[in-house]
Amino acid sequence: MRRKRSYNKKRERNKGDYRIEIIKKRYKNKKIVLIASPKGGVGKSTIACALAKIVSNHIEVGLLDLDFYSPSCHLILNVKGEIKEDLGLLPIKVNNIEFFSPVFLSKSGIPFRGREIREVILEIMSLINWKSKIIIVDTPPGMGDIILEILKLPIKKEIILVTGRGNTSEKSVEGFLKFFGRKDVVGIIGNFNGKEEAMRISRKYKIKFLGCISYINSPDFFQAFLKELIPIFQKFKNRILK
Amino acid sequence: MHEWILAEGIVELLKKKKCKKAKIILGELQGIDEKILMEAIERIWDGEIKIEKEKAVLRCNDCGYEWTPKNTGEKIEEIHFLPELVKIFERCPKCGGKDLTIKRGRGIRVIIE
Repeated sequence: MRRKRSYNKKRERNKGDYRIEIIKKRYKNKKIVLIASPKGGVGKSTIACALAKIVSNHIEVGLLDLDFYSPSCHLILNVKGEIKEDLGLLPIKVNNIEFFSPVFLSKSGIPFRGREIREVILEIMSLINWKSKIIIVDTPPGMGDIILEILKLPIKKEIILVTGRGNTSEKSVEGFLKFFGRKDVVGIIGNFNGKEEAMRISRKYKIKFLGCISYINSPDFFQAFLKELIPIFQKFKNRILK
Repeated sequence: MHEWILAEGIVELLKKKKCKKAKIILGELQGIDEKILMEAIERIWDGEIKIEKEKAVLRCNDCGYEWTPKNTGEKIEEIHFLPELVKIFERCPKCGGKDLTIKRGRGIRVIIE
């Protein structure tokens, strides 16, 4: 019994991670805006990139691609980057956007297992030296380790949920809200004409319906997407830029 | 330099724990510079600090084989920043598998004494 008590005391004393202390310092007076949906292919990356572009017209903004398995923001923005260091890793500058992607380190997606994900999230979040006060985060699909770890971080968060058209993406967003609740949720966007789906979720879970983006079939896809997102942004602009 | 930021985080943790003596286990996989880390900690903390090195060991999740990696953060910048990226550079010497786990010697562990 005496041995068990001293072991537990030692364990308790050694709880704590130095990277959490670095994160607290780095993200003091900053916030992250998570673009989230458990379902893949609903347009999270496009919304993250477009939102970063729109916010960058007002203020310097960060964009972080945390989809380690299939990063795509660098493809949408058409940028290449490399490792540069100054008191941490430096994001690359794309006009008024500070951008960081795991491809700067790995050149392609990497499969990480359970416990590794916590290590990777803590390293990435403690390493990057952001100047921006607002960092938009493209999250991977799923509701597992990556989202769990991000939501636990001691950083101010806002969450924008995304649904597409159809039952499967609507139900997956419902699953997110059932488990995590609506704390920090700014609202929901219906992409690919998912207006009905987004409005149902909005009514059921009492979160704000931010708007709907149509199914865009244009040669200049990103510009057309931006055009549709701009009026939607007006609905939550004050909350994001605060 | 990366080591200075790590030192700040470590000292912040030690101050929070109100301790005056600590040991740092420095896993060789991440390739942290021991001298620079020690210097940085000593500059901002007056407690007693000891650094111990730990050899890196990788384990193959396919066949269970364990080995010491040739590629570490000392040579490869990507591993220095994110040790889990060792998967890109190492394969199991026995079966050629890429599904690896870092068993030991990953990076920094802080032990309060």
